This record gives sequence, structure tokens and C-alpha cells, in this order.
Amino acid sequence: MEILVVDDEFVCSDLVKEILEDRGHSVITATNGLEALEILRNGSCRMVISDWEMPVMNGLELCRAVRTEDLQRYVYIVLLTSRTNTDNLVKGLSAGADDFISKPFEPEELTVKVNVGLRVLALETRNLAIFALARLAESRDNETGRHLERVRAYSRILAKELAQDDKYKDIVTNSFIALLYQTSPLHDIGKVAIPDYVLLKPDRLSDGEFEVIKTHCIRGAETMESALEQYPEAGFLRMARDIAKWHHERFDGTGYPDGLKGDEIPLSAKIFTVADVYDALVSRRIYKEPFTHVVACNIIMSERGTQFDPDIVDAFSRCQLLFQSVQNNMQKATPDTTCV
Amino acid sequence: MNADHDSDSVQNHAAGGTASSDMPSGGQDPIINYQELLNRCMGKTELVKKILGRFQETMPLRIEEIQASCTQGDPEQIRALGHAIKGVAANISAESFRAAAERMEHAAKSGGQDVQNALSVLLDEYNRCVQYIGELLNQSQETETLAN
Repeated sequence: MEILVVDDEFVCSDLVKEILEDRGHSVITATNGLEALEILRNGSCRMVISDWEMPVMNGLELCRAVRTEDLQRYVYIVLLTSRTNTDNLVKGLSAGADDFISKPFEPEELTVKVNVGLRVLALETRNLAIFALARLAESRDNETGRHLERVRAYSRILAKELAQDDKYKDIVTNSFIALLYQTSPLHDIGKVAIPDYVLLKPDRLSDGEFEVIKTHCIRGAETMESALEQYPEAGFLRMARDIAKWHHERFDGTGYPDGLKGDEIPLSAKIFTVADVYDALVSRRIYKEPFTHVVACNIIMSERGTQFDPDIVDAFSRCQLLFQSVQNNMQKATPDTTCV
Repeated sequence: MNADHDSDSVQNHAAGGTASSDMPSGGQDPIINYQELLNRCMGKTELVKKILGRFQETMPLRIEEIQASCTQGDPEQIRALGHAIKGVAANISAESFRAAAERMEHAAKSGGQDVQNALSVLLDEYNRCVQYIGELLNQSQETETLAN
């Protein structure tokens, strides 16, 4: 594991570096938070051991910056400090630190705390496995290209925009955005239960077939709910269930499977719905050519308050250029599926 | 000299405490708790020497800075430097020096004579550390030369 050690006192950083290298880690060093942040931005390091008091940017400011920035990975932060009273522990953990080591430290304490961090970081690899499973489920539907990558990117863009709104800033937190990004690929996992003759039909569906395909929401949600029964506190499973079950609901209550309306529909599902519909609009289907970005935007805005939550459409209109940018970038890899 | 667990004069400190004739004297209260420092350095005397060498390289600047801050009467800078010195002292297991730095950190709030008194103690403890480390590293070097 590559570990970034941040300390303006070389006696301390040398000691930590030597111990970590002795334990088989590779170590890079920085002498203040800003220098560390630059290393994190430009590299792939996922664990930081940082002093608290440093010039330019201190350890607490570094924690806040890491949690605010979109580094595309979780960075585990251990604060190495003599500030270990309760007030400081609360301050440090609130700023985004994961753990503390008090000075002077012992090599064994440092080693076990790094090992705890490694276990936590290993959980992130489960997200990759989840995404792989979602992609497997999606692979039967050969028209969707990089649909999963696009919709999770769109969802994150929308959520970040919504987080700027006073009404949502306390709900759409960084962890909400991270969860949305992780869980949105599971939205169509229930399609594994849809027979080939419906899912792969190269034509418009009949009313009866459409009724069959609508069951994918319930089947996907059932999968998540069986796991939720075992782990009812698992926010990940709850949001995955909400999105899988209700991403075809409409704001006016005319959607499926439950006909929920307005705020009865979970926010995660409402955000995801806009992302999913945008992607469907600009993508080629067997029954339609892709719409342009401009046409897709007009369609989404025309459904403000009917199909979609007005707040989310407003957020979409503010950040639609970012949607276009994602669409353009991903289209380069799969040129036949979407339209600029 | 072997890198690890060797028996030069540095290693002798771990076994003999302060009364041995081949090490700097430290009185009742050791200037540096050598055994603790050696443990922190995973039993590697080479690492002990490296860390103490780093201390000698970097601490003079910190001492200059804290003296300047006391002259300027900058309480936040005195506190921050006292805190930084405390951390370094703790890591080399220099308990008296660490306590003096902590006193400095607290004295920064009250200012005036408290700061001057704390600075005086800090400088004394720092000088004791420097002397101890200097003798320790010199002895180690002599032992290495003889061995070669």
C-alpha cells in the first residue's frame, strides 16, 4: 500500500516512514496539507497519516479538503497528534479523519491502525464487485452500451448541483452523493428476471410484454429487501432498493410500480430518474434514433412537474452542459449508442 | 557495524542506563529514555542514530524560531512552536525536554515572565539533549572506527 505521510517535522516523518517501509508499505512524504492535497489529486494514494499542526494547511484543513474534493476514491486519514482530548477527537473526526494516533507513538500501534485502514479500504473493492454484477445483469440488454457508467455520472452531477441549493444542502451531503454513485448501477438488476423474449425483443413491446418488463422494479427491490432484512441499517442497500423500485415513478403519481407522487418518491430515485431518462433519450434504441442533447433537454424541461420533480429539473437545466460533456466523452468509447 | 541489534556504544545505553562509564551521564532522570526510543525504532540502532541526527539538524532552527517569537511577544507562534517541539521531543523520548516544551506551550497564553522562565528551562533541556546526543553519536562513531 502506498501511504502518504504528512508532517513538517522530519524527526517524526522519518520515524513513521521507516516503520511503514519496514512493514512493506511504500511511503511518500509531504510537509504540509496543501502539498499533500496536490499529491492526492495527481496520484492514487488512498491512505494518509498526517500531523495536525502544520504550516500552510493543517491536518484538520487537509481532512476537510479531502472530504470535499472529488478524488474518485476513498482516502483513509489517520491524524498523528498529541491533541487527543475528547474535544479534539470530535473536531478531528468531524473534519473527516478516520482515526488517531497519539504522539509519541509505538510501532505496533501504528501498524495495527494502518491495518484497520487497509480493512476499511478493502470494502471499497466490494463496490467494484457490485458494479461488475450490475454490468453482468445489464449485459443481456445489448443496446445500452456504457449506460451504467453514464447514468451514475449523470446522477452524481445532478446531486452535486442539488447540494448547492439551500433546500437540499443538508440532505444531499457528500456521503449521499457517494452512495448515489455507488448504488445507481443497480437500478435495473431486476431485469435478470425478465424473459429473453421480452427483454431482447427487437421491436416495440406489446401492452402485455410491457407489463412483464415493468416487474423488473419489484424484482430488483425484492433482491435488495431480502438483504435489508439482515442489515436494516445498511444505507447502501436502502438507497439501492429505493432506486431499483421507484425509478419509474412519476412526480404526478402516474408512474409505476406504486404510483407514488411528489415527495413520496425518495429523492435518490427522483434524481436517478432524470439521469436515466436523459440517457435513454440521447441513446439509440431498436425503435428510435438518438435525440440530440438539445432535444433531450427540451423534453426533460417540458416534463417539469409532471414526470419529474421541478427542483431536479431546475438543477438539470443549470448543469446540463456537464451532462453533454459526459455524453460526449463516453460516446468516444461507444460511438454507436448515443447522439451528440 | 551491523545495521540492526548491534552492540556498539549506542546499544550499550539500552542495557546499562545512565551509570555506565561508556555513555553520556544523564543523572537520575535520563535525558533520553534510550530503551523506549530503541523500541520505537524497532530495535534498530542505525535508525536511532538517523533520528537523533535529524534532531540535531532540524531542532536548532526551531529553537531559534521560538527565541525570536519570545522576543517579538507572539503568543500564537510561541504556542505552535512549543507544540511542535513537544511532539519531536516525545518521539525521541526526551521526557524533560518534552515537559519543558509543553510548559512553553501553556506559558504562551499567560505571556510575560512565565514565557521567559519557560524559555530558560526549555533552552537548558535542549542543551542537555544536544550534549547527550552529541556524546552518544561520537561514541558510536569511535566504536565503529575501532571495529573497522
